Amino acid sequence: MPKFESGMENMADMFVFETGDLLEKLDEILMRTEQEDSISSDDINEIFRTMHTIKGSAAMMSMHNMSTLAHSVEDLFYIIREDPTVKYDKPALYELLFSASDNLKSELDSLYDDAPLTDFSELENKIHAFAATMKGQPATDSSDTSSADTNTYEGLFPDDEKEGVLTYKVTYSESCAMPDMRALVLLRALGKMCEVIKTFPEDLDADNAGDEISKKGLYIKLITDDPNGVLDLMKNAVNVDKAEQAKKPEQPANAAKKPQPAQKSAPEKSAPKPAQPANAVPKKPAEKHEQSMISVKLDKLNRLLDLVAEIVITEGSVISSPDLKKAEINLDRFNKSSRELKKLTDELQDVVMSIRMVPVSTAFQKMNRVVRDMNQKLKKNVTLVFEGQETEVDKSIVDILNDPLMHIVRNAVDHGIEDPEVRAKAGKTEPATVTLSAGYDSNEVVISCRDNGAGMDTAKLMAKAKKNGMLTKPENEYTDKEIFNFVVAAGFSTNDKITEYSGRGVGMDVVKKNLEKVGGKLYVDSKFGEGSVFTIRIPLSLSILDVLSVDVGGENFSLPVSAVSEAFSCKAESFITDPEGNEFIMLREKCLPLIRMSDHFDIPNAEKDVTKGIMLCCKDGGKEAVLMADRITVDQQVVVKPFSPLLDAYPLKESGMAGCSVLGDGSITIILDMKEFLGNYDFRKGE
Amino acid sequence: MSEQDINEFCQKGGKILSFVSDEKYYAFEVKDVTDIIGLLPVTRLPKTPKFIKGVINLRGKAVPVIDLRLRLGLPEGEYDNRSSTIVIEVGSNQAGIICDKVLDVEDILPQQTAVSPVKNSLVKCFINANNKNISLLDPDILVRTNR
Repeated sequence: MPKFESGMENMADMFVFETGDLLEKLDEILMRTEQEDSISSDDINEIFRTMHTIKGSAAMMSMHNMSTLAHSVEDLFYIIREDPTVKYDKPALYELLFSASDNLKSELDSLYDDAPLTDFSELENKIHAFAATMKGQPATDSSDTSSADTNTYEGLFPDDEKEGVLTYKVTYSESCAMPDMRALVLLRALGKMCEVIKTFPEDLDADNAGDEISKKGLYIKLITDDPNGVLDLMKNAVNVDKAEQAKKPEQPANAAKKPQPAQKSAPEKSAPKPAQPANAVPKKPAEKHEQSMISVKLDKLNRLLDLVAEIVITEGSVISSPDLKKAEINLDRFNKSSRELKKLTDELQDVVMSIRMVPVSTAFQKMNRVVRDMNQKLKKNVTLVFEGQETEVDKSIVDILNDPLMHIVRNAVDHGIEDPEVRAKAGKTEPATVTLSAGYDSNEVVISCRDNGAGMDTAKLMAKAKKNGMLTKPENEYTDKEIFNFVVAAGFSTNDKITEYSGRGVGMDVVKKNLEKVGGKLYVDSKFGEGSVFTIRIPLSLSILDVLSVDVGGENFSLPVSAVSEAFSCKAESFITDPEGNEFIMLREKCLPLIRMSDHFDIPNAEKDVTKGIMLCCKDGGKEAVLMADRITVDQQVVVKPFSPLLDAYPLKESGMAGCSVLGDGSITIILDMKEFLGNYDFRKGE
Repeated sequence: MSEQDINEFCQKGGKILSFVSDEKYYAFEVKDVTDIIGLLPVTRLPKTPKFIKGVINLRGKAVPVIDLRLRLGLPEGEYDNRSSTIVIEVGSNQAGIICDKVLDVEDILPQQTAVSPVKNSLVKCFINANNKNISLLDPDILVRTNR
């Protein structure tokens, strides 16, 4: 069972998305204000609002722990907002805020886990204690003092009330989690059939509105032609226990006459802006800004992208239809229209692609936090600089970048940048800096992380690589670049913790592998004493692949161009067989195993003569082999689609088939994954 | 398809799409069917059983196609111009089923049905309509086969 209330599943995604977004913005504000060492009233209001929203939506999901934690932070900022001159211990405050934000985030991440709600009471107590010291008084539960203790609303039945105004009382069941939210929904529904004049409590957005409703009930004053319909609607609303028409009492209760202004019990609303009239129209803070952004489910975008791709393909098959060539008619107008259509679809494609583009700054911003935390711990005082953070990349790339960036930045701060004393000794006067930059280069996004730290010593790296038995050729044949690449090799840093390079490479091989999975690459460069650069290159679009298509006995297969190093015709003398029936091809003093694709894929009518077919030298995942096909048909760009999940039962992937692609003429080609193909191929025959 | 669905069909009746394969009558519930199309060019998939003919291009999607005769262990038949591909939906995935010919959409009353006593069987219930014995197939079991 997930942590949130059952029945809220469809809301959960939205909750995670919105709350996650809010927490990220909160982190940004906290980072900025901590750095600038000053916090503006706008920032305070923003934090306050953020916490308020989180509190509300968490309560709606019955995440009481998140809601009370957010509430305690909100309380804290209430004090700061009320009295900007209040004195407090800043570092301690930020520590509390960051840990609150982290806790909320981790609870959000584990929302779907089958676990009880995490207990935040310790942190809450700390925050309460901090708030108390700020106020200069012992910790008390502030909510008790603010709530009114009467059971009716003041001014419920004014003497000068117009005729025709009906008053209804709605009582919510005790189990109702957020009566104020329900009340808002009810009012919206009521608004369609009658004119609502006033409600009690007046401000349903106020913090204590929920408490008041559950205590005293909700009163609604309205004018309507259909009192029965209105009453029915109220009675049938969610969680409503009782709805009835309220009559003006003969003698107004004494309690109602006591002066007890409504805004006293809703201090957050009234205090900051004295100019605001007490009975201001209730409004949500979020609605202040005009909305120019909407959030859309990624599913829908992907569907749109698929559709556009289909339109482009269909367009191609209409315009180049063979029927047109048969008909002996004048096609001038058709050609003109089809050119216009092509322009439009091209533009459509561009627009749809651009929808998915987001600036890399979202991934970069997260690193601020990483560096800040490490600065606190390691006392290195590293400055993080961004370059080209407005560079736009596909959303999926940003998601992929998060992990590698984190590792690389951590390594740069931890191992790249020296301790302040060491830096001073080395005569480095410039501040320790880690620079993240982004940009485009041909068809790739290039993200690099540069530090001005110690750099790497090739001699030491070489010695270590040798010790670990990683050398594959004579020592003096290695270039600097190749030596630096040892850093990202698996197992490089697992031993010998004494050298200054220990840790360099922790998890780097994993980073490299993850990047390679999406066609990305990781490069390392360094200058001893001056710093290191880690560069990530990822293709702009993940779904488009350059392939070489081949024909094997009338069936079409496509190999990723990146895996094919060479295509050649084979001479009879370079074809070798051994007594066990294994076949080899001699290619420039190398003896490579021959894989007939027709054998591997059981295709009967393929070319058998090695001198007549075409040979493709393929290399991936550390294995190399020569594949034989009948002929190369075309090299092209394709959109790879994975096989239908209904085919999961068959060993397609294990046999080296990654997916398929629908070509312009409507036919389908099978895309090969050479890493799987070569990795799983049984090179020994006769078994 | 769950047992519940089968019971519901047998209690309430419903619409079926009937078709013929090897001179026997079969049917899917109409709600499981998305398209009825002719035979499209099929791209063979290596390393799959014989009854999986391959994938077809259905409006830009590569949809796997199953030959019903082979799937049911019947002798392989010649395709002719009556042969059709019935596209069914299993979960959110589509699959094409090749049959000899499509017959009709028929309304079935509860009294015409009998639940198959075999659990998780390919045939979920038997229908008697217009003096025909029709086997109502379970798309889920038909398509989600194991190795």
